[in-house]
Amino acid sequence: MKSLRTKIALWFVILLLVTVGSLSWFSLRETESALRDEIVETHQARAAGAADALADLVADAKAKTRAAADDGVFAGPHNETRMRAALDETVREGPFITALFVPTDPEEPVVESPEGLLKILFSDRPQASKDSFVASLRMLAPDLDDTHIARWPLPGSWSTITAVESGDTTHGLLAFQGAPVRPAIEAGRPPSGAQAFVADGEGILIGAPDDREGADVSEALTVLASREDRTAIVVLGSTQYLATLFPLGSEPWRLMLATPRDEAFAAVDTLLTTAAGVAAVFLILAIAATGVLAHQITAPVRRLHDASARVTGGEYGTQVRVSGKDELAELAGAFNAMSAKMHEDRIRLLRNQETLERTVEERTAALLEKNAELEMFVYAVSHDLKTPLVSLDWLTEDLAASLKDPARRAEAEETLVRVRRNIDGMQSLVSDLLELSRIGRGEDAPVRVDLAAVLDAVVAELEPQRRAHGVELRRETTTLPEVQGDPSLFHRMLSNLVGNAIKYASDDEGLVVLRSDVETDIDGRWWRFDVADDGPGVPPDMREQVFHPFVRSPEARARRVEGTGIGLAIVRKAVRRYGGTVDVTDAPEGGALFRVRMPLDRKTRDPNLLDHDTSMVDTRDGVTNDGR
Amino acid sequence: MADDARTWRVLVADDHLDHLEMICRAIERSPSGHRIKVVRATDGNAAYAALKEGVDMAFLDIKMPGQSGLSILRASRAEPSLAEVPIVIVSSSSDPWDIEASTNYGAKAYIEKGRYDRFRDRIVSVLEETLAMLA
Repeated sequence: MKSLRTKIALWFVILLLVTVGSLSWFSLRETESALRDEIVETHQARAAGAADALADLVADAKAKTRAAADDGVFAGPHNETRMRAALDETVREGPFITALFVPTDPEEPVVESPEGLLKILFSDRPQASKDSFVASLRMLAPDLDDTHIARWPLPGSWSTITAVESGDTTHGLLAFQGAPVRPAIEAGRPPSGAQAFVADGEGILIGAPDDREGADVSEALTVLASREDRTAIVVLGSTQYLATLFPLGSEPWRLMLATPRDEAFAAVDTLLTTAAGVAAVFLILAIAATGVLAHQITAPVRRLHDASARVTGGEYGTQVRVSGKDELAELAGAFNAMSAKMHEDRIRLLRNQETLERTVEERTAALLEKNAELEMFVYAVSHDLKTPLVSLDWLTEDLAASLKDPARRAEAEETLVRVRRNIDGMQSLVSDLLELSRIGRGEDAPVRVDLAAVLDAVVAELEPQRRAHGVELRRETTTLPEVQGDPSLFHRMLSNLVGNAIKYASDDEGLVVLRSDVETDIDGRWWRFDVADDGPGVPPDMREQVFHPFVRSPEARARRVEGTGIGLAIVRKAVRRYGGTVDVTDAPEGGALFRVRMPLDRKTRDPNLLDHDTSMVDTRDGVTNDGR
Repeated sequence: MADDARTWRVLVADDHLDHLEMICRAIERSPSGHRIKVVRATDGNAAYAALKEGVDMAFLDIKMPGQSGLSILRASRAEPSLAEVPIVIVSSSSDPWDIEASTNYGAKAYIEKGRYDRFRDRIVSVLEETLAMLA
């Protein structure tokens, strides 16, 4: 069952077989009819053969009887001895016909009945006159004449008595013994089981098988006589026979050959039974094949239907069992693929949905955090602006009062200095805020930056502070690379770090050390810049917070170090902008160690950092890593 | 009582030097006629130390290095020798929590840093009221 086409083809083959079978059946009927005709013809031929053979025997017996009469066997006085001798001779002559000759002496006692005749023949006193015997015969057989053979039914094995004449004298009677007729029929080779009946012209049975003595065959004879071919199915007793009536030579008798119908037509019945059996087998095979085909066609369709219903019910991924390679199997395969795809798509959809929800949650959390940070930032900015504003309010109010009093002139001048300082503080704060905001916007195109030159400028600018704090600034910076970026940003970053170190260095002969190096690890090349001081350092719990805006260490507040609280936030933002990191630890000098690490290769940029779109290239080494 | 020869020791603690100066000036120039000695402190620890050394009253900023004004207030209320010293909390905070905490801890008053004339009047009135009570 490779394909539906094959199935359909096979279906047609089956139909064809049924058709051929039907046609064969009709053909068989014809064969059967011919066979039947042949059987009938054979039967008729056998009947004819049997009749001929019997007629010959009868004629032969009659001739012998006449000859015996002519020889004078029956002449002379009638006595039993001679009769018996004649009888024996005759019996010897023919194995199946017994001839009995009786002298026709009128003086002999009259035979009144067949029984009487038998007495004459076989009793001890068979004396009868010719006249009385003839009279008896005439009474019994009124049509008897010289050449006539009259019939005289006899009981027992005797069938007929015939008067035989020789000249003017009736010499005797010829009697056929019924039973021996059978061998005569057998000589005509009738089929086994056939029975032969001999009847005279009036339908009187004169010869029959032992068990059929006295049977009524008149109806059968009438039926047969009406048929042109003298053949018909007749009923004898309760059995059907194929019977043929045939004349017995020139004798006025007829032979009925009867073969049991079932036996005669056994061949036909076998043929029909066999044909019917074959037809039945064909039919059963066709039905079975049809059933199998129907099942093979409908079962997958049903399975597909059920599976479709399940898919409709939400059971995505439902699979149909696939067997074979036919169109239905292809359909089932396509269905399975569709169902699996639906299942897959649904899972993907659910996953996407989950991912989306998670992303939304994360974004929302990030936004909330950003929002909180922003609120904190705004609060801090407001606070850090409010404080100098309050101061200015108070100071200017007080200044106004002082100016009215000449005695307070010195005090007024001192107040003015305070006013100036507050304004400076606010300017620094606003400037730092603008700087912080500018880093976030990242609006300037990157240019080549010589970090050595930037550091030189920063150190020069911070020289007054350094001197004011009495701090020694030690530079161990032999390897400062050139990079791509925003020069002012690098300037601000370095300035904030070094400025912080100077502010926080020890009051007593403070020390600030700057170290720069280019190092390589598996991620690529990095510029490392360390700023160390010998100040109080940053306590571990503050090391992350100091990089947040407006967070100042307690030490810074205690020591009243000037600052906006935004410097380190600016540093971190600038460093991250280039994919770098900045952190603070303990310095070998005793204070804080701020370490900046910035990638010199594009591949070392941390993709998680937001501001890493600007490339940094160490052009001093002639190495460019971003393909430009 | 105004002519009482006694000199009142008043502690003013604020880490913001301008604010400290202006509060001190307001107290020193109060027209009450009291003789007042202002003790200055620029962080919490110094303020608490000065408090323990003995002052008649104190003006404490909240946000200060070392200790906040509120923590000094609370600590002093638990200290028998300091429990009765009137303490005034001075802050730029308008946070209700700060104000409530100050009252709960037993501050004499809470003065928010605002426009100078109003702020100065408030400082002076609280100062005079307190000194009058103490006298």
